[in-house]
Amino acid sequence: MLDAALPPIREERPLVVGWRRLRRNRVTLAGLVIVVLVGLCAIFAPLIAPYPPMQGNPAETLQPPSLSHLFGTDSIGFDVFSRVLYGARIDLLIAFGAVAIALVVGCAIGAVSGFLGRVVDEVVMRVMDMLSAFPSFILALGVVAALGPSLPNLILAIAFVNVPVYARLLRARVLTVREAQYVRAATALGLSRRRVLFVHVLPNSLAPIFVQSTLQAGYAILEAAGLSFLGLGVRVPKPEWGVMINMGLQYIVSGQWWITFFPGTAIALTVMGFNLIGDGLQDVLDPRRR
Amino acid sequence: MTAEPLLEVRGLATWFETPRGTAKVLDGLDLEIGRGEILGLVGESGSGKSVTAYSIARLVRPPGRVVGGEVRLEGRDLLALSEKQMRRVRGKEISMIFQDPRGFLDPVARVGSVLQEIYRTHEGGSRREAKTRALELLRAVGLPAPERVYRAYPHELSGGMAQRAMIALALACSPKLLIADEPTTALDVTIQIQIVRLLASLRDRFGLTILLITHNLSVVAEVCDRVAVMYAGEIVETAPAHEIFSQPRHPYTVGLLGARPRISAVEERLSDIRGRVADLHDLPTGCRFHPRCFLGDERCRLEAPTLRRLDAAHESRCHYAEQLGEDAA
Amino acid sequence: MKLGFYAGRRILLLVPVLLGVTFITFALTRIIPGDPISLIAGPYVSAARKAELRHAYFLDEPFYIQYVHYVGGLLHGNLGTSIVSGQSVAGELSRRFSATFELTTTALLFSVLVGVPLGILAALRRNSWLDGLSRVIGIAGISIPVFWSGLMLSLLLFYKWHVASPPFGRIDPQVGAPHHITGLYLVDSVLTGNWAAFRSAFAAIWLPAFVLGFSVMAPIMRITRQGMIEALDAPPSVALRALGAKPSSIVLRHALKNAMLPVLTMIAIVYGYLLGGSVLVETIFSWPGMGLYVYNSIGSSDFPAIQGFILYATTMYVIVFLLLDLLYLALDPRVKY
Repeated sequence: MLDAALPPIREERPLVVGWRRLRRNRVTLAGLVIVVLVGLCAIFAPLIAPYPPMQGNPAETLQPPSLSHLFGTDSIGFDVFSRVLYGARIDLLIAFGAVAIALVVGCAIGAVSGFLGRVVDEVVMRVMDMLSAFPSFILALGVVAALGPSLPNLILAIAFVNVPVYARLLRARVLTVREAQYVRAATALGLSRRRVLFVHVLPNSLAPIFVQSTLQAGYAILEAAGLSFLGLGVRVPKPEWGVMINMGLQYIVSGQWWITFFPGTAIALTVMGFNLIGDGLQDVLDPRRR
Repeated sequence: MTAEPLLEVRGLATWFETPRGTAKVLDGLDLEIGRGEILGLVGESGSGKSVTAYSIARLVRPPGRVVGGEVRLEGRDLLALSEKQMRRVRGKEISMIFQDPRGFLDPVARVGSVLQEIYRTHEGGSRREAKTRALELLRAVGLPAPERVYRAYPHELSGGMAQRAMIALALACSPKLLIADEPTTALDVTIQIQIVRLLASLRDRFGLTILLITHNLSVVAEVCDRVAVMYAGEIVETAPAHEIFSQPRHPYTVGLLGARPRISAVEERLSDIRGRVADLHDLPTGCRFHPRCFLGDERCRLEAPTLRRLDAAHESRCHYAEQLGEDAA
Repeated sequence: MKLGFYAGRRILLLVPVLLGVTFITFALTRIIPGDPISLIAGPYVSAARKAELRHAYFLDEPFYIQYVHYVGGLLHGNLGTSIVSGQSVAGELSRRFSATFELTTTALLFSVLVGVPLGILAALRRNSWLDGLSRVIGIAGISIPVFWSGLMLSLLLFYKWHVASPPFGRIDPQVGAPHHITGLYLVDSVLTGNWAAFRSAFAAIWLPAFVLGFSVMAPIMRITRQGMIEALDAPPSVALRALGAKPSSIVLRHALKNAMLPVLTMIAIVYGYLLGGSVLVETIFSWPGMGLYVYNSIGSSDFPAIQGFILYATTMYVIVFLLLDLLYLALDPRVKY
């Protein structure tokens, strides 16, 4: 809109640029801090938790938060605080596990589809489209319902639902890279597809894959908690956050809010951490967003 | 020029804040346009022509800012107005058309509806009145099927038709001054001449004053009364059109003219003037043009020339303007 | 009517997708460990009966034959029979359809009516505190688990402060449902002038719809903001300013119209999340829709019901997507069909 002749100017004054970058980093930083904290809770749960997560004291059921039970106790006498800490293990495991599987499988499918092209590509992409036609939570629900509720099945179901995202992402990258001048020239000279994949496509894709993964991790936790809440994931009485909310459901009416409050807050905080990281990264990657 | 100029720009300064520092794109620009005149503003890319246009209409957006000067339209300083007052000026007293007409029209709005909107914003009136006026305007700019254009979306029009539509839009409220920012650059060569002649005829019919910004010298030769040559944010020469071509009095103008290929199909300004456009962050001392100038000497490096009046209608910003005049004649 | 032809083509293209969806849904039964018959018939059935059922359900036939039978059944509107009730799953879902539809659509409306203006404001006040705040609100929305926020808000607003109506169902049973025209209580009560029903239905729906809508507000806000920024920075906005158009018109009439097109696409995507979330929200609020039905079916291991729901909900989603797609086409003058 301005004189096309002007040297390409960024839209900010120097001060504003610095501030904006700092703020963007602050967002990502905040997210990172949260996720790291949660991770630390998960890793060091056995050391930090004052009580074992699956051992309830029948004499101390339904206690409100106090000094001896920071988050109170539930109907079986479990210490909510300890269970929230141990729950971090389960939920982070699900998040990382599901995302890792989806990533590997999805990228593999996408790469194969992009390289082999034509019929294979068409078929694979149609299948991905069909998978994407399902609302993701509902498809995950179906898979776990079929396989039976358990932790591994939950991870598998969530991973399954997330495969198309990675497949599409990588396929698009493969296609773009393949069309690039220098790659076409190199291929004519004998550059193998494998080298194209590992030397050109993958390094280029790392950034969007990473961003996507942080967002998927957050969503995986929500799905896992939701499914477990419904009874389709980790089962009662394991200390998964969604399960804990389910266990505390009936006590809300009688005023024992802490049984559901703290696990829910844990979910919200953790997912927010992942989303902040992903959001901050997206800002850095796509200048149009600011 | 004996009559009061319609537009008087004095000391216009527009600066841009960039990560590399402050680019003083315009830093004391002077310009005058007489009533009913077509003034051509020419120069290479990067000279600041468009910024001048946007500064006059006060459309400069951050990181740019008009930091000083006066822009007097019929004596009234536009830079002193509030934004609200300026909004009434835009479209009604000063109007603008742009380089890529289809790109500058709202893609999801029909041409007619925008025409109506602009007309009614400034002049009020009913929808029917506005529609009548709109069709009138579309006819006046030479569109053979005004009804169809009225109902059309921008992408349905050819480049030439879209530019005519844009002109109609600009003239909807009978402005005094029309600023045309490279109106022909994005068009086919044959259409270019048509559009430019249209502008001239509109000037004749409606007493319009036009500031025509272009790097296309054929266009200048076709319709401009006077020409102002711009380099690195400064006006380096002004003269009546025929004099610019026959008696250029600034080395830069000489270079521009010399570099002009004989074929009139000029799309890109070709410059075999040595060197590159001055970097606005890093201007040379003295005369801004001296590093590329075939005349330049020590004096040019140390002392920045001012825009001097050489005779009744001719000004030049060069220490050696008179010598050039002798050579060229 | 060109749009008609295009719509027809798009609907035809739906067929392979729907077929794929049915196939995947059908395949779900095949991954069930153990004997599928016990899932269809329940555990308390004799061996002889199981053999009968096995034959009746074509389980002694190859996989693809079974699939063909399955699709055949679908075309007759047969989604299977519930183990628990013995009723047709399709019938039970259809009865509950309007409750879920009303909930998800109201949630969507909320999300759009709040999200779009916030997105516009954020675009107008780029990088201000308002922009930052709306971003935080958005992120909070997609991070907070919808079943938890529903619970906490119910707790606060109903149990503690008594400002919300009891989270049990769509309407106060003493007021009674309005005369059935669409099945949507809010609409029906307005259409029949039954204001008591309207008030009661609204009081019942606003909190679950808010909770559900809030969870998807972020993408709507973000895409509105992005679209507005692009439109406001684009050349047409400059030209309009140069012509003296009113700023309100530039923002609301021109920029917004351009920005709304991608928002439409986002709404389609978001609807999927609303459908998924409705399962959780209906459970919390005892909302008598398909989601609650699924929750109960999960509890009783009623797999045919679960499977039927998956297909029903997904078909709903696909149709909504198609409709929004067609709407986009109808609204964007640049698209050629």
